[in-house]
Amino acid sequence: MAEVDQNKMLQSDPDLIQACRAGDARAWERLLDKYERLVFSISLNHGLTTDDAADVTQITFTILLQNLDTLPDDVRLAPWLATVARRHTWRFVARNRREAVNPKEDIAGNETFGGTIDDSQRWELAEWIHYGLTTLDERCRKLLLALYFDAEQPSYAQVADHLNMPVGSIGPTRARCLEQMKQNMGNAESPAGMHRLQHLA
Amino acid sequence: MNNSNIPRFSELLDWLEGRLPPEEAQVLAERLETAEAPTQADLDWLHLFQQARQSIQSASPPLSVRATLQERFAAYAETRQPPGLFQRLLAMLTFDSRLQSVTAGLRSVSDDTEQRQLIYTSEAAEIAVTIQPALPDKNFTLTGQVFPLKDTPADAFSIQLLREDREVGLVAADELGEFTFTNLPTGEYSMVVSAGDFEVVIPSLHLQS
Repeated sequence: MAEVDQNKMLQSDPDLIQACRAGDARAWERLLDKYERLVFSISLNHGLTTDDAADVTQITFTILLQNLDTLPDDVRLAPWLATVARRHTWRFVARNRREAVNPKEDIAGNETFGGTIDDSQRWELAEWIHYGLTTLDERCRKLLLALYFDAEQPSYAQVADHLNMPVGSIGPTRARCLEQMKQNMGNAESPAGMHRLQHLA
Repeated sequence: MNNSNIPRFSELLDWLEGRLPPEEAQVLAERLETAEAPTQADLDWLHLFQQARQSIQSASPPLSVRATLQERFAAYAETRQPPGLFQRLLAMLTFDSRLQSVTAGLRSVSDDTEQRQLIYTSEAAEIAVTIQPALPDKNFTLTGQVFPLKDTPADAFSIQLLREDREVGLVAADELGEFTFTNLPTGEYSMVVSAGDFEVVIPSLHLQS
């Protein structure tokens, strides 16, 4: 379904928070639209099952609701939510390990992703990517998630339709967004195994 | 200042993703053999990103998550609603059978010697009142019917009858909005018809033989 005029739909985090504080359900819906996928993906990419990742998502946004009144007016929700989601993801991972019948079983892996790198490297990559995504505006984040991380691998045309963008702008925009992401991450530490990862290519 | 020898980030990305035409890809590959540090840094970063995208995915949570979060917000929002404003409305007399000729429909009664019909109008409801004079030395019966003009159900109304600011009766309207007060002596009355966050006041009802 094409979104009508993205520019008019977009609202800043402070606007949304203020509206939510006033009990505006549409603002809450908008906020969930912006960040639900990011939060869910963080948990999923850290090895949780779909059910556990759903629980973490629910917990994360419930915590947001509980803290709406005390959030700073200039808060950036993406990193705030990502931090809360990670914290609770770790708790689930730790719980799953304690409950493991066979300690050698790989509870935290890995029906959700393949590849040849081990869990700790995947964890580091996930942390790195999710941090980068939280530094982007909503438009870039949605575009990169759709183009590069959607398991259904939508075409440029499908992404353009979903995000209400001209097909011809997808390519240049994705490049600008990635470059912006790189710049935003600046001196952020790359995954520790960056060089090892490259050698696996 | 643009240096055409330095590949743009977008070019590097297109090259890595195999989106450049073969000739352009070949030319860029040759340029990258002697790439300087900034270009190499861009390439390294893009390689890492490609690694990440192969092992990470994005998905939306089950719909049940959204439904639960909507419910929780609804509960939160209830605590944020400002208290409703109570409205006190003054009803206006718009029909008096003693003063009007009989032309209206069911609400009007042609016999104006025994009964008196009054209709009061307000923003929230119309109230029809019939005053039935009593036999000599007997008191009056006052019947009425509330006709809500908004969504309030007829049987949500309570009707308080006062005489000299003291309550002489309090009844609830039935499902048709009808109510009755009996055994009322001669005198000046007022009536308050209320429901929810508003009330309609009829300031003067004269019961006189």
